[in-house]
Amino acid sequence: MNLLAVSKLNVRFQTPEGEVAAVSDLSFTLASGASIGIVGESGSGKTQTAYALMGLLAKNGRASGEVIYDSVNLLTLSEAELNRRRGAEIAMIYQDPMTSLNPYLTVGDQLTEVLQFHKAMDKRAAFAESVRMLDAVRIADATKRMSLYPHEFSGGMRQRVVIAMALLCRPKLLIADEPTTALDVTVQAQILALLQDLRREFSTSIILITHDLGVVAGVCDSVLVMYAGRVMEYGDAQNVFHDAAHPYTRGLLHAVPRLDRAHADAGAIAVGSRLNTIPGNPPNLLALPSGCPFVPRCIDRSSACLTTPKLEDFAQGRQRACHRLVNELTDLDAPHGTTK
Amino acid sequence: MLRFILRRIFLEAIPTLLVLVTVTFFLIRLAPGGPFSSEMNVPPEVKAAIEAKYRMDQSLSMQYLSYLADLAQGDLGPSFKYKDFTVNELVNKAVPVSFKLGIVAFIIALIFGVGAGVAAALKQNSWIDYSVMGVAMVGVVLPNFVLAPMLALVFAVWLKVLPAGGWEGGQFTFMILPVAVLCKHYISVIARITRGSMIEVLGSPFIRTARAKGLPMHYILRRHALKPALLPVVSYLGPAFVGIITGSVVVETFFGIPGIGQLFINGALNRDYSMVLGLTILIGTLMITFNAIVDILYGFIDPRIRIK
Amino acid sequence: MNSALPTLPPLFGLDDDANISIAGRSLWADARRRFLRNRAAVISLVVLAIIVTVCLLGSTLSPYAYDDPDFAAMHNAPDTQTQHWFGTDNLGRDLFVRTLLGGRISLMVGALGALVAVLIGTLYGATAGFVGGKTDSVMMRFLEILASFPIMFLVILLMTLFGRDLWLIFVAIGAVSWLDMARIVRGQTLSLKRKEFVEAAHVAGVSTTRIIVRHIVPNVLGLVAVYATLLVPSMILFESFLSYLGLGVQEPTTSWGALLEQGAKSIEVAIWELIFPAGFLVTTLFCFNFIGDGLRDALDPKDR
Repeated sequence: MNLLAVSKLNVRFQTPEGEVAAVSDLSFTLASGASIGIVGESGSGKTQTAYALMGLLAKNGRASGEVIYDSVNLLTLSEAELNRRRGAEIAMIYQDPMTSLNPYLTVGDQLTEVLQFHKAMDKRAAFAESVRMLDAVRIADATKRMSLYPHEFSGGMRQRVVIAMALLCRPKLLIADEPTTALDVTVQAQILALLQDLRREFSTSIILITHDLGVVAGVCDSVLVMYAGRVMEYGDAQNVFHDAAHPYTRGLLHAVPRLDRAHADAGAIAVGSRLNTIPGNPPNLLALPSGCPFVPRCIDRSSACLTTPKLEDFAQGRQRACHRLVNELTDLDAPHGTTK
Repeated sequence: MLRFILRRIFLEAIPTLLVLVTVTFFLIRLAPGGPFSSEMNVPPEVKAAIEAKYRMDQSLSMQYLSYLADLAQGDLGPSFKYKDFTVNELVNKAVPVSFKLGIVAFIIALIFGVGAGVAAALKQNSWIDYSVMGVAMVGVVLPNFVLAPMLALVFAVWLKVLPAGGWEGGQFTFMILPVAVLCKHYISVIARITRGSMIEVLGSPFIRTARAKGLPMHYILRRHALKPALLPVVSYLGPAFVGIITGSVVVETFFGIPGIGQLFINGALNRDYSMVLGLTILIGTLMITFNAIVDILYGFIDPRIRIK
Repeated sequence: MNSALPTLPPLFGLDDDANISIAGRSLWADARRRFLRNRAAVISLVVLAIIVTVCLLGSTLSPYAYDDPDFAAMHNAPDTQTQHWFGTDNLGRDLFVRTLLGGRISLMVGALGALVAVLIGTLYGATAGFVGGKTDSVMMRFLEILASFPIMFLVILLMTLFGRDLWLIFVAIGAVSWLDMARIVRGQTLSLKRKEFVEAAHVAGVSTTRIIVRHIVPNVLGLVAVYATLLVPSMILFESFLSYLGLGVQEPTTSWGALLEQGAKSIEVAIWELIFPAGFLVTTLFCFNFIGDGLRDALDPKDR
């Protein structure tokens, strides 16, 4: 039974410069207790997907399509009906723990209000439960820290608070939007490990949004690669990473620095070694080219790419949107970028 | 926090006050044809009183010190114009009048300004927003001394429903027009500030967090948004207070209200130096004190300042 | 670079522009485009130009002089027959000519006051921001002390002590209004000094003078222009305030504020004595505010 089934989700923004297509025809499903990674550069529509699911789009944004959660379409719910689920069944953690907490309220106030609203707990019960949750995300001295303000916490600590806040009501679905981007590398690892533990402990489904493929590899069962608001590739995480079937996915994977791969000459990291990046800039959503959105930056493009490719199954449980055959694509790992 | 308060009072407010008093002390002695030059045309009794009062026979530094000592006791000296009165006596009669007028205008400006600003922010780009901002624009640009005669013309001369001037001990009907004129600028500015900061706060990530927690909007507004949105209003309270005192000069002059504004202008027009000087120092003291209070208040509201 | 990416294969029919995310445009061209799109600001500019022209040249059309009383024609209503287009005041002087004269004085005080304030403020702020360190904190402390003074009352005190000269009004008004300007310029200079492109220029060996001329000045200039535009109306307002109270320009010279004082007194018998000066003053203030807002929207880097 799927906990969440998104089909044909479209997100559009009306701006003075024109309509922005932030997300186009996005579909995926998520089973109870499973986790999916949504990957892409900035501007690929990852974050807007999350906001659309939560009903948190900016005022000029509209979401259409279906987001079936627990057999109701979230997009058609009223604010009040949505509020019953937000924070209780569906929770979110954010990219920047520095700004996502209210600087004018104590951490305790911000935690307990969730329980008071959703679980109708009184102040004392809510306080006790909040302290328990802070303990669970490994914040030492939790009782004392309840009365502190967010600026009195370090970045990693704040992200733990945000995670604790999201988990207070034992949500069935947790949406994590770049939860580790703003943190130090060592803290990143701790937070990811924490997410893994909590997922096991509370059997929460997770949507993990990131541009960091390493993070997805560690946490997610399946992965969805987005570019310019559209799905480029979708499949089991292991398959996508080991056998990427889309030029964009390959480019992304190749842009990840890896110690086991020399980036310049074989051997040491020589002077002048460089990381391969995808040529060009992320797309301007106001002026997308007709056809495949990735075509201006694609090293495998051909004249067929001027028409939009459909997202199609090409192997068991895998989908991609590309006109070229998988074995026609450039193998970036091979020396001098020869074709297979 | 205590250190912050002490610092604010002893390192900022008091030195500023000293500078003000010193500057005015020397200014008035530098003035050509000023009170301390012999050709000044004042009644002999007043002159004698002044010379005794300001210890003209002593050195400048002694004069300065005794002047400071007098001020410290709240003594503003004799009036140059009204030989039977000291400045203190005249000021004491005028202060309650101005205070009543100013406080009422201040409170009304705060309530209506914040209310209109929040309404405009919540209904951004609706007719409410546009009308609030339109009226606020007019309110900021239209000077007091244009609005006052216009209101008097409409309500006193044409409709004959309100008195065109006078005070009568601050009766309600006599206060309506002066208060309306006095507070219109501050309602407008406060509405603009509130709207701007409310829109900014509502767009901030922590409000999105609060919404993601499933909290109802009215609760989010009250608990999460109001305080940060009002912080810029709090920092505007100092200038607003100053502005209302200044504005009361026009309002009191036009409506013939016996407050310190009118006293000040009459003093200036009559070259009643000790009156103008005394009121400048009094108002300066009020302003500096009020600004210090606002800053300290701000420190209590914003936890990030409290820590420093 | 051996493992540089293979070059993109050429693809006929692809619109290359589609990949250019942000079109480059110069700051000033961009600002002009934004300003011209702001209808209120453009209309205000035109109206203001008309007002200034009329104030400068309009008096030549009238047969009357500004200080020419006519006791047979006191408080006369506007009348094209007598060529008192705006009527006459309490001494029978032509209000049209006096309103335009008042306009010249008010606009001049506004412009000169703003100029004084901008010059002092920019120099002070730029020095504090550029030198930094102890100098900066001392200069800012001084600014704070001045800012907490009852400025308006000090100016009136000054006028009481030193008489009510027109030039004194310029100086007094300009000299007390540069505080905000100084703060703004200092802030901008400080932030510019730390900006990457300035540091980049430093590193690239560009001389300090050249950095100031090429990078700092153009960036501060926009801000100064905006606040100067907004300063003019507040200067005009300040002067009108003083003149309204009888502390500004003295008879028979006049300004909008002084005319308003007279107009307010005779409102029951001669409403035109209030309406015309008030109309000119308020229109001018509105124009400056709209232009200032338009400039700010056009130049404020925050919006981009």
